[in-house]
Formats: sequence, structure tokens, C-alpha cells
Amino acid sequence: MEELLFTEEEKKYFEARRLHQEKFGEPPMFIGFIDYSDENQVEMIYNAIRTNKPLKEKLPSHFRNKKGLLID
Amino acid sequence: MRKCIDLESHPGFEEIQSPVLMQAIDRGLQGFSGTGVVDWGYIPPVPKTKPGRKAKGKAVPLPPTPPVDPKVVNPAKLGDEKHHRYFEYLFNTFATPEARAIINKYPKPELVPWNGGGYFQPSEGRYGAVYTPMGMTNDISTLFHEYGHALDHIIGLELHKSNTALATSEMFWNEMIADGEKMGMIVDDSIYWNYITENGINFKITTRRDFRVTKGKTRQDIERNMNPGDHWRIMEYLLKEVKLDLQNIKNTKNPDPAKVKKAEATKKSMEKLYDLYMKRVEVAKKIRSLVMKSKIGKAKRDRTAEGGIYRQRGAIGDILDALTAGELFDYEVATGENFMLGGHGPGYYNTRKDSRGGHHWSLKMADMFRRAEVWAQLHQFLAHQDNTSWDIMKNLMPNTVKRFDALMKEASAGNLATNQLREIGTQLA
Repeated sequence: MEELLFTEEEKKYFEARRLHQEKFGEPPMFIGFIDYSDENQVEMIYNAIRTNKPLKEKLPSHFRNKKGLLID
Repeated sequence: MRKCIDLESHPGFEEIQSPVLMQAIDRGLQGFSGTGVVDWGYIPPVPKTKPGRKAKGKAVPLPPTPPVDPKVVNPAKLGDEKHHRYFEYLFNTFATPEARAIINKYPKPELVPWNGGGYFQPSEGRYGAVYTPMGMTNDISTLFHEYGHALDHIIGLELHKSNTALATSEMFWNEMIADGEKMGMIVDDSIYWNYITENGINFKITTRRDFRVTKGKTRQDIERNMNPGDHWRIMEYLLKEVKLDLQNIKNTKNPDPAKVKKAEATKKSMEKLYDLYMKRVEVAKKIRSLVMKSKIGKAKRDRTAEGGIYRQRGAIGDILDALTAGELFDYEVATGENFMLGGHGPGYYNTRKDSRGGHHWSLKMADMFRRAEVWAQLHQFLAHQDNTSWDIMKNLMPNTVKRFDALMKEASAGNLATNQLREIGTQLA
């Protein structure tokens, strides 16, 4: 059995994700790199739970009307 | 205004008395200033946080960018704007001289300060545009990562004369796949897709949803119907289904030997695939453990402490996410087990649904994202002065790292002027 050594930030993220999945039946969906230590992403998940709207992050408006490949 | 709500004089309302309401109205009228702000005599409750989407972060106030240390070898030169000074400062302080030499050698992408995540758009401007944060805890790692995408693209255009975006990383695809197979991250899953194509599938995949695909559909058609977690849920279903198929064929008066043989072979292959997937999870856990015990696992989330290397553990997680085409993340969603270090989440490395409900057009397109992200993560590690992640990756993916290193050395030594002259000569001939 491997020692997974979760950080405190990761524990918060995974708990938020669990609650989101429990409520909406699907995980929160982000655009771009998911950083488990990013407290803003955790806050976005709790906002989604509070507002009863599953988190499906959209592209920033700046990019929405731009054509061509976008990589993050 | 007072008259509008004075109902006492109206028939039927004479007896209605509401002192609290009248008092509030009177106070409001006293406090009305014509600005639209009404003094109600108390502070209305305000939610502590506003609901809805929040920006990914706010910039911290930055001290003035320090002047370039004269001892810095190959100081980065990115452009003339004020924000260029800041990004040059990050490269001059945390990158290696070799990384700065390549940056200086090649034409520059547009650099846009952007605190809503990191992006690279190849089609913007002549050499693409890098969107990267300034003054946030992730600004070093994001700049080094996004600039890796830019170099993948620009070296492809300038040195290899490619007509397609992000072409240099195409040159280490074979090594990446071979290493992925050796690590057990990439497995032969043809039995999984072939079974669904041959038999179709129809079952209750979660308590809220059915999963239904008719016979004859391709892998891409099947993936388009898949939500996060479905890949693993289907795997578990198929494992039971192949056993049932065999039982049903045997449970007849005169079982057809050819059919029995085929069903046995299918069952064996499916069980083998399941075991490979389980082994893959164990390998990913071991890698997590290795990373968390290293310097990058212990690094604190801080903008400049040790050059912001805390974020490189997530970058190694992202390489596993890319190698497995998002299937480790899918396993986490289906099972509730957590072990990933980071990644790009649903639909980014395959043709399944992403956060916008859409998907990549083709598996080839999804594969382009896989190699491009592995490339950019390796660039982040190679460019940084701290070697911890680079050394971990050398052990995990030796052939890919070797090929990446060779391509960067080639880019460093490549004679751009000669190439341009050769091109002109070809055109003249």
C-alpha cells in the first residue's frame, strides 16, 4: 500500500469535488490545468454547490470569439 | 412619492395599519438622496461571497521589477513593453542560461499578461500568443509551461519548416508512446472498443443515466457519448458481460465449439485488460508517492520560494493524465479514489465530453494535445534551475526525455539563417 501523502490543499479539493459529485452526479469541470492546491478552484466548486448549478467552466469571454487552436 | 403608497384614504384600506411599514417608508423618504440609495434604518444583509463564477485569482501588488543582474548569462530579451521586463525577470532569475539562449535565438510570441489561467494560441500574430499571469503564485510555472508550447510551435516553423501548429513535439511521439507502454500507462485496449463495436451496449451506467450505443459504432462515436467516469464504469460492466456471454453460450444443449472458443478468448482478453488497468492505478500511486517524498512534493505554495516548484508535482500528474488519455482521472471519478497529482480533466486528452459539453473532432486531434502538453511540461522542468522534476522524468520516461533534450539541443545549435537562405534558394530554383 503506497503512502499517498496528501497535502492539506489537496484534501480540501478532493472533499469539494466529492460533494459536487454527490450533489450533481458529475465532477466539476474546469478549463485548463487543474491544480489541486489552487484555493480559487475549491471556491469555485463551493460556489457551484451553493448556487445549485454544476460547475462547467467556460472559456474566458476574451477567447470565445477567437478562431483557431487554443491550448493551455 | 408619499402619495403613491398612501392607501388610508382609499375605500377598504382605512382600517389597515402597519406601523413598521410606515416607519420604514418614512425613514426611506428622509434618507432618499436622489442617488438611488435608500436609508432603510438598518443594514440590509449582504452575502459574504457573491455567487457565480469568480476569476481564477487576483494579482498581488508587485514590487518594481529589479534590474537585470549583470552576472546573468544570456539575459532574456522578450520585447520592449513594461510587462516584458517582468517576464524577463522570471526567466533571468529562475531559468537556466541554456533555456534563455533558445528563447533569445528564436522569434518571440506575443506575451499577454493574463491572470485567468495560462493559454497559448498559435494562430494569433506571426508566432502565436502566450497568455500568462503576472504576480500570482503560479506565474513562474505557467510562463515556463506556456513558453514551452510557444517554442514547440516556433521551432517547428523556423527550424523544421513545418506548416502545422506545434509540430516539434510530433518528433518525440514514438518515444513518448514507447515509454508510456513501458510504464504501464498506455495499454492495448482494442478489446474494450472492439467488443462495443461488435455487440453494442445498453445498460444503466449510473442511478441517473443509461448508456446506449448501437452495434457498428467506432471508438470515436462511442467516446462522444461518454461522461467523466464512464470509461471505468463501462469496463466494470464489460467484465461481467463477457462472463455472461460465455455462460450463455455454454448453457445450451450442444454448444458451438467455435463460439465457445471465441467467448473464452474475449473473456480472457477483457480480464487481462482489467488487470492492466488496475496495475496502472498502482503504478500511478507509486509515482505519486515518489513525487510527494521529493523536494517538489514538500515545496510550499509560494510564488518565489524555490522558484514556485510546488506546481511541478501537478505537472507530473498532468503527464500521466496525457499518457492515459484522461483515464486515470476517469477512474478517480468513477471510484471516488484520489491519487492524481493534477491534470487537465475530462475531454482534454480524448474525444469524450469536456466542460463545454463538446469534444475534440478526432482522436488525432486529442493525441496532438497529449504530446503538446507532455512537451510543455518537460520544457517547464528543463528550463527551471531546479532539476528535481527533470530527474524524476529521466527515470520514468528515459527515451522521451532523451529525445526532447536532443530536439532542444538541435534547436539551440540549428542555423536559422542557413535554413532561410536554403529556402530562398529553393524558391529561386
